[in-house]
Amino acid sequence: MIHTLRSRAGTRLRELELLITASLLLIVGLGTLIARDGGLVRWADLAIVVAFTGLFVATSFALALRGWGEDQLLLPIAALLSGLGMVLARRLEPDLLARYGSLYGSIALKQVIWVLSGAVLLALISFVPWRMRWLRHYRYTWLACGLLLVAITAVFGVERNGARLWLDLGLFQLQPVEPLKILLVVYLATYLDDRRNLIGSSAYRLGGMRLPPLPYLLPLLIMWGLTAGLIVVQKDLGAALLFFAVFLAMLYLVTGQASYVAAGLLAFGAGAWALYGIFGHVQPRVDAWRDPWADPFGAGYQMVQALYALANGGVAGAGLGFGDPTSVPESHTDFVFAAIGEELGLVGGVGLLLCYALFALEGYRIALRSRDGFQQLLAAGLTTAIVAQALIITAGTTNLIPLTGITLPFVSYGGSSTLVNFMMLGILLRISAANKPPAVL
Amino acid sequence: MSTPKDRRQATADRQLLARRWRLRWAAAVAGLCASVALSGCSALSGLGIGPTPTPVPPLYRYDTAIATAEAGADREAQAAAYYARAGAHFEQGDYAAAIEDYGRAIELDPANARAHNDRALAHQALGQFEQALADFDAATRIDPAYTRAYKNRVALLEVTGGDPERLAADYGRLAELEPAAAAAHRYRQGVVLHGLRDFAAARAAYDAALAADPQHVDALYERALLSYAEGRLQDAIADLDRAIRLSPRAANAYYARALARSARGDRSGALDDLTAALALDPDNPEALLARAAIALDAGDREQAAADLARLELLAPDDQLAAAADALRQKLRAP
Amino acid sequence: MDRLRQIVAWLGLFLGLAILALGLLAPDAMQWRLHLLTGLWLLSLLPRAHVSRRLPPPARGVARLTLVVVLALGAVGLQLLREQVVWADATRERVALLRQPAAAAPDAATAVRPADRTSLGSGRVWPVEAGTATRGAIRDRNGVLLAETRDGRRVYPLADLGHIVGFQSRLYGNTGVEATFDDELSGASTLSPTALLEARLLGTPFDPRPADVRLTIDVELQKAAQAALGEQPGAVVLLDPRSGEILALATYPRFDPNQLVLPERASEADVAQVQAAWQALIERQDSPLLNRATQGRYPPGSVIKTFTAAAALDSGVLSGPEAQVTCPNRLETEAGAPPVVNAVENLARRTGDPSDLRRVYAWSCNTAFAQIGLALGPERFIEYARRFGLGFADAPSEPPLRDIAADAGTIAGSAEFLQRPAALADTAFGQGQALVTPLDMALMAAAVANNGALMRPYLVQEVRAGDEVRYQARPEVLRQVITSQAALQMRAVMQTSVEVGYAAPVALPGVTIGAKTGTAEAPPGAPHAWFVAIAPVEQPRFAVAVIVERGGEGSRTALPVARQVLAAALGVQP
Repeated sequence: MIHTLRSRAGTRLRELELLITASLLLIVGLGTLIARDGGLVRWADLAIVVAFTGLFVATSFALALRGWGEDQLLLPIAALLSGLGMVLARRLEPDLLARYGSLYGSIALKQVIWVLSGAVLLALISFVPWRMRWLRHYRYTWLACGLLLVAITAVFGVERNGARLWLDLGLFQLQPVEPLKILLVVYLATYLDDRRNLIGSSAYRLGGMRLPPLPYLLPLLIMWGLTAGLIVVQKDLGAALLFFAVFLAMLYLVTGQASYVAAGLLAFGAGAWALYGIFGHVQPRVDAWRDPWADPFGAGYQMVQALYALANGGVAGAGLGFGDPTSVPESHTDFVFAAIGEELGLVGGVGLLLCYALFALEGYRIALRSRDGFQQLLAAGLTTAIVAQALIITAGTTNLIPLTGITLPFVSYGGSSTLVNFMMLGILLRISAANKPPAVL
Repeated sequence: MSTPKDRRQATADRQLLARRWRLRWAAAVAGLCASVALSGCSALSGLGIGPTPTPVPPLYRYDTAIATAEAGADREAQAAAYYARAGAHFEQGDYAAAIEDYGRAIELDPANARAHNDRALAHQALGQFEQALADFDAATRIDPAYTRAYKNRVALLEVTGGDPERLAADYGRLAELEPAAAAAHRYRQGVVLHGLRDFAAARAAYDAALAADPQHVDALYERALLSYAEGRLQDAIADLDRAIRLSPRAANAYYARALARSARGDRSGALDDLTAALALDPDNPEALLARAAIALDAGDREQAAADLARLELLAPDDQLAAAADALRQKLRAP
Repeated sequence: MDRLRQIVAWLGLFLGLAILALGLLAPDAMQWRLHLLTGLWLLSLLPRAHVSRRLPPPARGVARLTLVVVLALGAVGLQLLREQVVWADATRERVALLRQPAAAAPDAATAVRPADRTSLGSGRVWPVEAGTATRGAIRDRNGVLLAETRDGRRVYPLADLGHIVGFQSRLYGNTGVEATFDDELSGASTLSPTALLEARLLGTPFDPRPADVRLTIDVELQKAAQAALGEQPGAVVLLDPRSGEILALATYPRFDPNQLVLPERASEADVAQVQAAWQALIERQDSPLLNRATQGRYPPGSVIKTFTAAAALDSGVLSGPEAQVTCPNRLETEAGAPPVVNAVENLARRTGDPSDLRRVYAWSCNTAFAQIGLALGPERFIEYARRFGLGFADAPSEPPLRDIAADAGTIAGSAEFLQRPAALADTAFGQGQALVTPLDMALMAAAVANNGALMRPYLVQEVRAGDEVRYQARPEVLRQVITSQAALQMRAVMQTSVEVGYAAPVALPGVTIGAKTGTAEAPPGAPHAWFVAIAPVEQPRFAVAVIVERGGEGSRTALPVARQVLAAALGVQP
């Protein structure tokens, strides 16, 4: 037993090294901020570093001891990103306080709590024995719970920026859309896996496009439609876009037909055009995207500020703590990427994107080597969820696509987002643990 | 069944593994220690309790930029740094500090027209209009093609209502600098000159505005009023006809044309125009008075009485009220 | 085929890179996004070919998905490159320009289409100050100055015409012509509403243009009338019956309007002076402020017989001047009423018996006219009274003179009064309740003189402002009172009164005059002396009415006044 443990203990060394690097990033970042503030180290800072490093290293070690799979990349990337998120939260806190008031009183501490809780959650998911079956068999239950939560939020939720996205649970605020992400991916994975052959076969042709048999696609579309509709009613367009992207990706994986994707994009285009007409708040977003300079102090203000921040960053960045990222509204949630772009420069931004690219590669690799179809779809779906979210928000903040209000996974300040992302990571690790070894040809 | 070779290999592998493991653990521990050492020692005042970090002043980066520039000897860089901080002060509303910094930037780089312009705006925000004007003058002297300075100066002069000659000259210059908006500038120049009663120059300005934009209804209207004041009723009515064709819902154009027609003796035309004007703007006291007067002249006493009654309900200003009273007297006397 | 795909893929790679590079340099964002899409798609050809060739089908989907994700992240990376490196300076410039504090410039920000404009122009309203100008002057028909503003003070060179010209006092208001033509004299009438509106719209000056007033009064005749009246309280009215122009309008006692006028800058002493003068005038018992000529109402006495005779001639009650009329000493009109008696006992000796209209008129036989009045009857009497402009106290007629304040005389208190024969008879010869003004009597004579056409009397000839005639009086026929035949006959009757009768002393050499005396009983006190005359009788150019209050007999006191006035008017030495 000890022998096996000992032999297993060294299996995740690469991950350990990478975690050390992540901790170093955290330490250097915190050190820069402390030096800027006058060089006063607090016990809290030390505690944070120790706790962070300790938790992740411990998780890694425990994973190693359990003899799980070969994936050694996802956890360090997540640790790196969340460490960066903590550093940024701490960097932005005093500026936000000065600029916008006491609303942003303790975001640094809160983010630390969220990240550490996320790590604990990750550990729980990884080590508490649960069956994948539970996801499969109770999929409607899970989805119904999620939709119910979202519906409750739509009615009883806290209104912020014109949308009711948050449910106030006293101690903290929950954003039900986040867990709905996982539940939807799970549901889609199970459903598509069940009906894989049926959907894969092309029964109808519409013009030059093939369509899957309608009786089987229809419930799927309805479920998705309900989800998306609820989101649209709540005016959470970022989540709607994300869910749609995930849906299309998983559909493509199952059917292998690019034409379905094309049809889906057309439908999305039509929906967007309809939205543009019906919802008043879509138009300013689109106008701000097309030319933020047209109304630089009104609709386009946020984007102009973000572009200016990016321009200020240059290649090497202005330096952590030397930029003015809080001039961009929502710089701790939606526009962290602009803050990173400003203070860490092109290099930092591209580095961040590389992290997400690596995450995607690793996630899809896990999907490829999954034990069964369901897990493959699940892994691919979860990876797509995280990476697509990152794509949507980074493209939005840099004015490549119209801005939508979603968070940068792991980096943005936000409890629900961080926790749910760690949960997804946990499931991915679980799947990777169950991976088939690579076929030896 | 493992051969001795295999066993040796396995041992070697284990040792290699163990060594790697030790190295890596050592590196990890070293890194941690280094990070602790890097942080330095401070008072052990408990977890989470300690003096809050000094808040970074919002102009921190500007100050550092200035410090950096002054360390060097590049006057232009220093001027740019001071200019940047002045801009930040201005944005925060600290206009006095902004003026100071702009002053320093100007000292270091006197040919910077933008700094003069911005300082003038800061003066204007503080209500120091003479200094603002002086700075605008400096800006335009340095760069006679600095459109923004001219625009700001005309804004200032329009607000303070002073020096109409200079205002007119500025509009003229703006028309030269911005040919795309020449019509608007020439029109405003015409309005200022019109107010000065320099009718010839005003007419030239309106003509220029209409040359740039033949559909500039405001210029047509004002030129018509000019012609009317000079007694050229034909031209006035022609211009007003054009203006009304372009803007059929402009009540005051109908009103002006009504007065012009009445001056020419065309009472029925005047009444038609006044009816149109009142249809568009029913509570216009001047139009009501005009219609009452012209109707009375034409002999339509009921119309005059009705209009005067409605005028009374509107409680017009003293002059109109007095004229309405005189008209009422005339109405009563046969 | 495979090779071709490879070549195409590699070409696509390079082309894609080129397009991306070009797009990075494109200033327009949408162009760049298009470049980005095309470039990335071209770049993806090679990996996709690789995926199709190298990977087994199950892995292809995931691989392609991975490719899409990586390319998308690459797109974001390229966008970062563009924003942070290539166009960073431009963005900084733009933001610096935005951040450059600028006041809102009055650009053509309102891009409202002309067709939607509801108001044109600068919306400027010119400030209008009504200018002040010197008040106009008042002159007589020959240009003699009667009123003028000198150095801010209203001056009346001839202090005797206060009751015609009136005065302009800031304390006590305006009277006379100053009042009636105040708008024209001050120029306020030129401040028309349209002038005000034009001034507000165009900035044209808004100055009043005062006008000068020219009266019909002839100062020489006026002076003659005033001299003739002397200091006897009463009035003289001289008018031209052909047009209605009033040539002289004298009244006594008079006042000096200069005393009631304040200068422009009045000191307290000035004000006190004027107030004292006013008080003095008001407190006098003989009412100097009253214009007896137009507003003094007296019983007409025998001069009303002119009216009765004219009515009788016109209505046919009497066929002509020779119509037979008796002149008894007393006449019973009605049971219970005192009989009508003549002023002189046994007047039949003078008039003859039977007499005719001429002689009863000349000798002023009350009883004869009482009969005539009764013969006319109340309806006709009232009708003729109305025609001559005499109404009732409860239903007064409108004064015909509009240029200054005037009263209309009344023939009786009410129409019911004249239903009684005694009252009718009394009124017919000059008693009763009739109260008339000297102007009424002059108009009565003027109607007879003008072939029965009663002209509207007027004082103001013309109102002129520079070259502009703002008002021109035109003779207006008020009504045809009697036929010209009757008028002719009446004139003959009046001529007889001068040839033989009480009015004989008025005769002037070379002129025929028609006249009537009157002695109006007005107890208590002496009767009022009346005299009306027209001259020359053939084509009368003048009609005059004189009253001397409490003057006793008309032939004694009123007649000489009229004679002097007529002499002056006719240019004859009395």
